[in-house]
Amino acid sequence: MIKSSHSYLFQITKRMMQETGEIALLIGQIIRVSIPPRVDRNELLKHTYRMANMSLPIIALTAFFVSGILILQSSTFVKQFDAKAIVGWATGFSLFREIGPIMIALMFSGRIGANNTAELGAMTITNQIDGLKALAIDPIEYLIAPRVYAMVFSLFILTTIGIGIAILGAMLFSIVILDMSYLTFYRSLFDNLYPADFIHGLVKSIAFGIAIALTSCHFGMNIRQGAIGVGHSVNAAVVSSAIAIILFDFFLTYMLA
Amino acid sequence: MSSVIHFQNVSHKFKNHTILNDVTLQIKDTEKVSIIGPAACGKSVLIKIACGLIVPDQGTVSLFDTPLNQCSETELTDLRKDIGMLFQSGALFDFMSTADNVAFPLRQQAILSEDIIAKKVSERLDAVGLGSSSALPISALSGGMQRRVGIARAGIALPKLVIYDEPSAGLDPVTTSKIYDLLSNDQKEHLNTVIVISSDIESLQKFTDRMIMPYHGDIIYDGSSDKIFDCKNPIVHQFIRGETQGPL
Repeated sequence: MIKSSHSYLFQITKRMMQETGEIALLIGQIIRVSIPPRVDRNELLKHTYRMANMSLPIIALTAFFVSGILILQSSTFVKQFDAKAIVGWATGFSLFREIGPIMIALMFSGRIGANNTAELGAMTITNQIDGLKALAIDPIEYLIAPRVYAMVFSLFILTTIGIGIAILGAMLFSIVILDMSYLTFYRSLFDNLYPADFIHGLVKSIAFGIAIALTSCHFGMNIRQGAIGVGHSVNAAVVSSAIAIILFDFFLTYMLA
Repeated sequence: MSSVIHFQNVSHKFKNHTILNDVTLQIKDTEKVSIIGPAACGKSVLIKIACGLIVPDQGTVSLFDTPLNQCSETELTDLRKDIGMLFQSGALFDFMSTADNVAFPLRQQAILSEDIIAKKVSERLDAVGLGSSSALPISALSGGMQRRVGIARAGIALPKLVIYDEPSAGLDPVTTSKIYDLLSNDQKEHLNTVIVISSDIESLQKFTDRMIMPYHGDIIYDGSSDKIFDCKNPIVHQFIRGETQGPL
């Protein structure tokens, strides 16, 4: 029993180290085509437009209602202690630094990361990646690097827009639910928060974008069992992205605190 | 004649299955070669090793007199600019239309104008009988039509080496004859090296001069297409006659 659990742990550790090593190699290959830049510009623009457009409605909706949840959850205590003066600061602080970037990154991972893994996976099992290589096209230059840059840039833009929508939502919900004035919320928000709070969230969004892009591309390019493997890879990519987002969040919060 | 592909003592295994066992083989410029053999005998792997898509376990593979094990990824990409390939699965890009798939090698070369590319693509699609399907997405085409798009794409940039993996699979006899005529005319016109992987012995005998048959890691036949029926090897004998009794 103990022997088999040791063996299982050994297999898991070995697999994780293998995946980490392969992702490190992928980073090296992306750097190789980035200096000097040899990334396909048309593909970069196409993916950036598509990824940002595809995710905007769902991210706007999520951001709006997350802000509503924050106001609802805090409403009991705000009313009990008459703490309306800190509502703007509290929601802004949590949305800028933590909830905004992490919620949007998780939504983006489920929407775009999973889609990207499935697309690359289907291309891998139908030999389209080998087809590109045989036509003297570097798949990293043509397929992977444009997607990685597009994902990082799209998530950065979506986080900015999402946080903006969440703040507007929080303002609206605080007026409706807490019977606050617009000015109280505005002053509480802007008198107590600094640009560094917003930048903190944006730095995180770049790190989360890199994590989602690398894991989704890695698992898409390394399908192991044909069509069934596509499902497994999408699952692995989403789980790995979520873990990477939480780990990055912890270390960045520690470093930027 | 210079060497296009040169295998020197090449060995390769997939798990415990031997694909190539100390194989030495040379394919020269302007040769028309067919690779035959039963399913899963390593025909496609042999070709993928030749193009550097698979790295063999042992031995040296040279492409256009350049040893692939000494090439960087960029040098390998440059070498592949002289190769056109039809994959067994087609390997067509499903995010592009039929015409865009065929035009892709020319667009990547970035030498010709869009007008000339469009004209060449139209001619090529007409030649494979798909002139009216140019705007269709790949998913709207049947298996046989996709194969013909792959054939049109493989040869459009006039590469020095063209490899067709099962060009006639899923095609009716008339279309098969037309496709082999097209391949033959292309080869006569451009004097490139052509390698065809197929089990259509009759068509291959007409089109290619040399046949190679790998089996369980060894090359059990490498000789003239005309003389393969004289081969005494029982595996070759059974395979080319399609007999049910024998070692296969």
